[in-house]
Amino acid sequence: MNLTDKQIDALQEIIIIGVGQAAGVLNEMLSSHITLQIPFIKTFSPDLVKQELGLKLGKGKLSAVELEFFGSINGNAELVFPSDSAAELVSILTDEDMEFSESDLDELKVGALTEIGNIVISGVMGAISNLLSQNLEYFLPSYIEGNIESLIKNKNLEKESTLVLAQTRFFIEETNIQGDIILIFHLGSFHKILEVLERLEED
Amino acid sequence: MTVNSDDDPITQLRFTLLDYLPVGICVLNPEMKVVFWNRCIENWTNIPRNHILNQNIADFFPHLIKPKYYNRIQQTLKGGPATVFSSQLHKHLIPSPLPDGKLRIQHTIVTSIPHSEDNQYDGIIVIQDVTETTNLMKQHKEIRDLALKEISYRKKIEERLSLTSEKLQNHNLELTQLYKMSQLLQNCENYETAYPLILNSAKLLFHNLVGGFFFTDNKGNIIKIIKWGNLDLDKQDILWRNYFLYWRENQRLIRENNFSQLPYFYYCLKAKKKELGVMYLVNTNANYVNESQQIFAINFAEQIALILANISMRQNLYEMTITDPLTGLYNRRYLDEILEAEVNFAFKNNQKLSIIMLDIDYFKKFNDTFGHKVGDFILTTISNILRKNTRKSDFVCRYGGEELTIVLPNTSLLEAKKIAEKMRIAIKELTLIYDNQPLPPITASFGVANFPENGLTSRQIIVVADNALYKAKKQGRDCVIIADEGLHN
Repeated sequence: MNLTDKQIDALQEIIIIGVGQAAGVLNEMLSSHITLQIPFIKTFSPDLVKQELGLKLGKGKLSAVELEFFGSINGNAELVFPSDSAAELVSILTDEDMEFSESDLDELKVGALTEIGNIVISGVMGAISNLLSQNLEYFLPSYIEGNIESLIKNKNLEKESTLVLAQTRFFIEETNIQGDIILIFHLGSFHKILEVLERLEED
Repeated sequence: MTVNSDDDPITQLRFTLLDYLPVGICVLNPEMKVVFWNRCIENWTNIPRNHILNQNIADFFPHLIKPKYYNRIQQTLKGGPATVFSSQLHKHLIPSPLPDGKLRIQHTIVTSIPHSEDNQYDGIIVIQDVTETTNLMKQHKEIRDLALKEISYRKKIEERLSLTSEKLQNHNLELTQLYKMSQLLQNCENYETAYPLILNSAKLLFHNLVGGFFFTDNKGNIIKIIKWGNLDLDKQDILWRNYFLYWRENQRLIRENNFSQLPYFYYCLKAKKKELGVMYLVNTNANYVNESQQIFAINFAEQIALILANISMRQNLYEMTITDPLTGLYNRRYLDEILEAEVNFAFKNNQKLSIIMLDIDYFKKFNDTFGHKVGDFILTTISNILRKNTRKSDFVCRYGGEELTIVLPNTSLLEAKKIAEKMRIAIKELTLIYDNQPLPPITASFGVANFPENGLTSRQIIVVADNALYKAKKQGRDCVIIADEGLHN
């Protein structure tokens, strides 16, 4: 299933609003300006999604916070950092020197990163569910560390299904921090989104 | 569902279960009013349930009205995802003191609970006390950081130690090689056998440098050049020529100056006030020949100079023991030594060997008439004639008094006789003038013998030659007599 340009434009707009809101929260926390890239949106099969993300995020170690949502729309939202970006971000937020803990974010830091992920993802999801007027339910946010394989777990992705991937990269100015906001909607859910999008257009 | 009074039994019953949980729990309605306040949080905050129920939580904890708390809690109260206030970023969402006065470290999660009858949500605030865990982790981290620091400190020390030990090891190697070289050089009898030893050691000890020696004689003429280095031969040749020219033109400078921080280094070989040559080292990577290399090179050169001087002294001493001081000919002692060796050689190689013995006629008379000085003059002059009429391979010796002996290896009796005749005539034709005074003509008598015809040992041959000489004297002097004794007789 492919998206039309119009559909992509509409979805991009919604995601820009959501991500923009999240960037605002981050901005407030760090008092640094956040630069956002225009979201990339495309449909994929589950296997290809991994391949695509591998290309986009690289093979290095990643730190991510994941939020699974369900209801009328199913999917995952993730905030992904390269591990060194994650370490730098946490050390800015907690004012702690990371000299000896660069390689593995110790447990003390995991909580902080989870909270940041929670803030950003809640911002995105709040905006999206408001715009689409959908009531969603959520699991608790969880922290994941590893490569792409461990980030995207197959068990939640139906083998046959098509996924819609939306990815936005952001940079925090005056630091070396970059990160990605990734949204994966399951196909069934996506029909719902398109339906709503069409209705919005008509209004 | 809204709760209006603190004793609404249904609401309280609905949440009673939460009283038994070991976490602080507070339930808020969409207006942020407290709907439930469990026992645990009652204990922690010392705020009794009946005081806070139905009150806006911000009345008790005014900081919660700040946007960074308010907005996030509101989001959840509107059905958004759970809100996490981590123990790292927000340790004290609902501040509660511990017995020691410090505030409890809290990990807080706000989750929404949908109402069944309308589209609204309550929020349940769950607070975990993570003080102990956090402190333990902090301690653990401190210990780990300390251990890592210690490890990195030890690593540095170890690296430094291994560097020093490597240096020492190198130094030790250098000294051992130097010692070995001196040991070998001590046994060298002449310079020619010493040069290859010096070259090998230099190659080992200065393997990362290019270098060489110019060895010179007493007059400063080069007698030997040795060189080494990781350059191909052509380049090495050009290099040493340049350095040699430089050295020639700047000899005095080089002797007087200590060049530091240059890519090349010179050192004069000097021992017992004698100059024996110069050593040069070049760093072809255009780096300096560093100080430790220079110091070691100096040690190396000094050692070589000393040993070369010793070799030369030993050689002089040896020559003195085998030379007759007046005539410069070999002495009898050396004759015995050399004859024995040459006879053995001839025997092994199936060669002939001849000896000529001669005696100056009426030498005693000359001595008595004109004095010892004239006698010495005659001996020296005749010695020179003998030397002129022999080959390089022959040995001319003073056997004693006025008796002289010549050893002629690989020479037949006939050839020896011819040589003796030549000598006899050369002596006879001498015109001797001493102190402006002409001396009477002088002659000599000759006896010639041969190995193996006249004897098989050096002693036998000498005796036979002496007998022939005796015959020559008897037959009227100034003649050459060939021995006729021997195996065939």
